[in-house]
Amino acid sequence: MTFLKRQVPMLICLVVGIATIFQYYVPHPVSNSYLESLSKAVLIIGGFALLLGIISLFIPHMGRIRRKADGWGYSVIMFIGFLIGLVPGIFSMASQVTPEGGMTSFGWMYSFFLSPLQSTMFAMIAFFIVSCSFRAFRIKTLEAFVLFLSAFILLAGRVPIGQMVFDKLFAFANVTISQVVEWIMGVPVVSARRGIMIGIALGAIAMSIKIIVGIERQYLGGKD
Amino acid sequence: MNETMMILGAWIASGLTLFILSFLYEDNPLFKVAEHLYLGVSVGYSLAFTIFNVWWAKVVLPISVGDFFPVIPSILGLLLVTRLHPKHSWMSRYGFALIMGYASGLAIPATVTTSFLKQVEGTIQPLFRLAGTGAVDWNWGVAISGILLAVGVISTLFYFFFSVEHKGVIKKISRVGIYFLMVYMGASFGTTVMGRFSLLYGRFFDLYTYGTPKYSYASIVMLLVVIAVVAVFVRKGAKNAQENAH
Amino acid sequence: MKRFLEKLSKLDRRIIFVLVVFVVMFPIIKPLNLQKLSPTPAVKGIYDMVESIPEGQPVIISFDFDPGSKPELYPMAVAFCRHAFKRNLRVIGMNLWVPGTGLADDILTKTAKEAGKVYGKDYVFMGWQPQASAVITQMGTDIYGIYAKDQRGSDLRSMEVMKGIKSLKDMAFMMEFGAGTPGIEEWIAYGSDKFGFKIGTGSTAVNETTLRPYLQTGQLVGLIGAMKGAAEYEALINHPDTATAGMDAIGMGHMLILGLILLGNGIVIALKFL
Repeated sequence: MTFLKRQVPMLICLVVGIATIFQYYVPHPVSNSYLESLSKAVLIIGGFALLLGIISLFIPHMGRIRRKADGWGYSVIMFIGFLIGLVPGIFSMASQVTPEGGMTSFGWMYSFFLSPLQSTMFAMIAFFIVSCSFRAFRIKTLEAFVLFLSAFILLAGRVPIGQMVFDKLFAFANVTISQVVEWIMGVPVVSARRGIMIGIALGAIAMSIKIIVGIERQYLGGKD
Repeated sequence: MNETMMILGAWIASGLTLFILSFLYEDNPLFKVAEHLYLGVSVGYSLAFTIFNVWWAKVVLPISVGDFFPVIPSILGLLLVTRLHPKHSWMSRYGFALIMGYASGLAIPATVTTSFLKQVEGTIQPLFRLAGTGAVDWNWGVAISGILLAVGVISTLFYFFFSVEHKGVIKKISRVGIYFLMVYMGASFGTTVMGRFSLLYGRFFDLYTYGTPKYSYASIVMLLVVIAVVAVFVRKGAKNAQENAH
Repeated sequence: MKRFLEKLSKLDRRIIFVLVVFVVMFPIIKPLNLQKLSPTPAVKGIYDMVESIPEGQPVIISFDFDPGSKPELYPMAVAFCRHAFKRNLRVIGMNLWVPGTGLADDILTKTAKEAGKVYGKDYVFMGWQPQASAVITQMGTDIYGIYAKDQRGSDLRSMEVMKGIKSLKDMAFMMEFGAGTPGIEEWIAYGSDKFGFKIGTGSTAVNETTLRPYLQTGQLVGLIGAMKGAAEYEALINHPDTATAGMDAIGMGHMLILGLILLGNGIVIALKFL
């Protein structure tokens, strides 16, 4: 039974992983057809993964409602929201635009429920960035000063008001702040980011190899 | 969609926006309502698309015309749900193993080419920029930038190499890398600020639009409602705190 | 003076929030109409690419963002689609982020209507599919293996807009508007680097610094970064819109944050000497 529970999944991962690596370098039609079939299969399996997420979400909220625990009313709101998101989608067959170019009920729900909720959640961060910058951005070392200088040039140089002010102040230098910004984005930013990228790439390759050969088995879950 | 529904939608959108923004004053029931509503709506929305774009289009329709390829992936996909039941969770491993093997197998050659070899090429290539005639074109600005680029990449890599102790020459090179990283982080901070203010502008523009007579001053009325509710909640909280103190 | 500065350093954050609201709202209510931004080489790269594509050729656009990134990416996507329709290119839309499906559909429908384009003949929206790496890899050899039907349920292969197209290699250009993962890095790794088609991107401000290395290597033809890039593209196609209007508010916001950082540090230095 351990063979079916542990060895077979790891074997699947090993065989599929190695075959997929080799497929990248083999332009033969059989190789392409292997990848097409596997891609379709993974797409279908991945589509069912949402079911797992939904059940994981519903179980604790249903428990909260059943026990009438603190804040159970909000769990009811969550289920109401779920129906608001799902029901118009089923009636409109997941289409937000009518053939004539108008708005379906699903499109209406998207424009006036989901879109404002999601946008505002992320937009709030602006307030906290400003507040935290005032309280915590302290230039105490040379490194912090370099960070601040880079931020200052980027913040001032990428907006019309900043460009107007600094181009007038530094008109004698024969170089615009926009050109300075482009150089910063094109040289030091690229070089630092590239160093990070290469490091991440090497880590990702190592982790992928560990998953394929079975050293990294966290995806299996469970104890046995 | 008729005009009444659009006006109703504007009231809902401005109300929900202000419910979330009310968190800036203090955590309150209106924010919690909006938060839980957002969670439910986004899950319902995703499920609607999955039903039609994946389950119906890729499983039901092909099987109905005699193409039985989706049967095994669908079974593996359904077995993923057994993850939640400890006794039977081993059945979900087959689906996960296929996905992980596929993703890891795809990632290795793609990462080697895109994030490693091409990046190394991009670092070296500016140092050997050739003009159209084949002669080396010594444009000083480009040459210095190219050298700085290579120095930056190498010194950053030295900084992140923790297998060797940072002392002597390695320490000096790492310090150079730190300054490149500080410039990068300053630029990231600057662009992040721009991004967040862009999002805020988008929300406020919508609130301004929904506050016009066309939408029956939705934003203004909802703002007053939110202020009133938050004020009552804060007062109630202060009263409870006073009573508890006694 | 010392007590005032100490009080100022502990300023209630809600006062700062009110300042933020003011600097963003003021240019909305009273537009400042400051100078236009001149296009940078990164943005011009995309514009020049579209200008070089012959009429009638197909371009594929992937709208990989959600409402959380709408203010930055929506204007640049609209500007790009306007440009593509003006050049009479065939536009094929898709997306890898399920919450962005509505936005993608809206952008294509709106810009096509402005340009008098016909669905199925001049443009099509293929919709969303999960598992980005599988989608891109499959599309590299056969688009119809993933997208047999469009978002509205019609057969793709029979559409005039898809004539002569079998895979991504048949596209004159691929443009991606992305807010993160899955996004342009997957398109480059599993798409353009493997199958050899030209690709460009529009990204949020947060992602712009992470994508610059790809621009420098030439893996990207161009990069429209943030609302600033969108405003530059609007200037290039001579159609100022939301992004151009928004730059005033963003500029005020930047000045506020710079001012507060300098004030905060100024207070610390002053308190040291007092």
